[in-house]
Amino acid sequence: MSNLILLDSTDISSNTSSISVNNVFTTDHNFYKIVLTNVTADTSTNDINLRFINSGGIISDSSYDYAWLRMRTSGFNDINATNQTSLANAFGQINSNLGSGGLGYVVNPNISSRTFFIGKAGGMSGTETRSFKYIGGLSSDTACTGFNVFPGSNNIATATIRTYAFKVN
Amino acid sequence: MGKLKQVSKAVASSSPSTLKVTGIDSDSVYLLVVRNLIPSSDDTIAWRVTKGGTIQTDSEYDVTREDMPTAASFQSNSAANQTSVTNATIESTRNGFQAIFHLYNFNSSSEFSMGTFETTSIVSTPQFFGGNGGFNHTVASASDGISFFFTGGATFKDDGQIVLYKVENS
Repeated sequence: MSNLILLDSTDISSNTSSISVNNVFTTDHNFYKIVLTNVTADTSTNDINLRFINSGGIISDSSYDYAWLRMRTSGFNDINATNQTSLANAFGQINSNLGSGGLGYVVNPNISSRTFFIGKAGGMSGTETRSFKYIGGLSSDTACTGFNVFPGSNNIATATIRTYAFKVN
Repeated sequence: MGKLKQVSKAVASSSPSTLKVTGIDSDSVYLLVVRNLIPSSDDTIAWRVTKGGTIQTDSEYDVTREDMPTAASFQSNSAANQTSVTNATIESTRNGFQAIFHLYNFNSSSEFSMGTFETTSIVSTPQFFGGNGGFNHTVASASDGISFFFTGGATFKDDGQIVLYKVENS
């Protein structure tokens, strides 16, 4: 048996402006992996953002800090910010139906502490390839039970989101 | 990705000065999950490889990395011929150093032991701070594990954890 355990698989096949995967972060595990594949949108350029969920619902106050390296064919960008309402571009950027993919590691979500995120993603936006390296987290101490993926505008049209836990014996 | 099989783990208890995992004995890729390495006082996290279980302290560590702070300019850092691979100065009252490593060629007697790492931490600023990089132990002999310590002598707070997995069928 693998020590990487599949906890949830969510498939999106029609336009949705918000995807919540809840009740995956528990006290059973402390290190998780989220994999997104086949992500498309109904608009030409779109950001794929991440928020966490606690007992009060989706956390959307100004408690997210992030830093990411965007590697584009037209140039690289160093981007960081604190006190944001989401982990913006945590799973990169996409261009309509050209699709993208990415993965993220989430550490300590279900204990009342900082929640950490490490990510990477790749895809198309506009007419160019864009790849991302990402770090960040939730700067408030709260126990998270899940996460929410949402586009910067309009809708996500398709996506497969799989959530895994690293089991420690 | 193939199946993950846990090889070993180390959990901080009674304020250890090092945390070490061993058990690399095949040519598979190994994955190291690092969580909550918190120093007793603000200090720089670092790591070394082990050979036959012995921590290697020679000046054979090379590293390159891109550091990405959330509230400061990004930094491209590199170093050669070091006695360890150093990273960030970890803050002692929050949740410490988190990372995922991929370890390559450790079992080879004719190649360098090489690893890549992705990290995120609370550093002493304080702020979230992380990044990506790679390191080599530039000795062509087999290594069997990895060990963490704080360069200034801080000890690990309890519950800090490193877990070594083998990526089977890789």
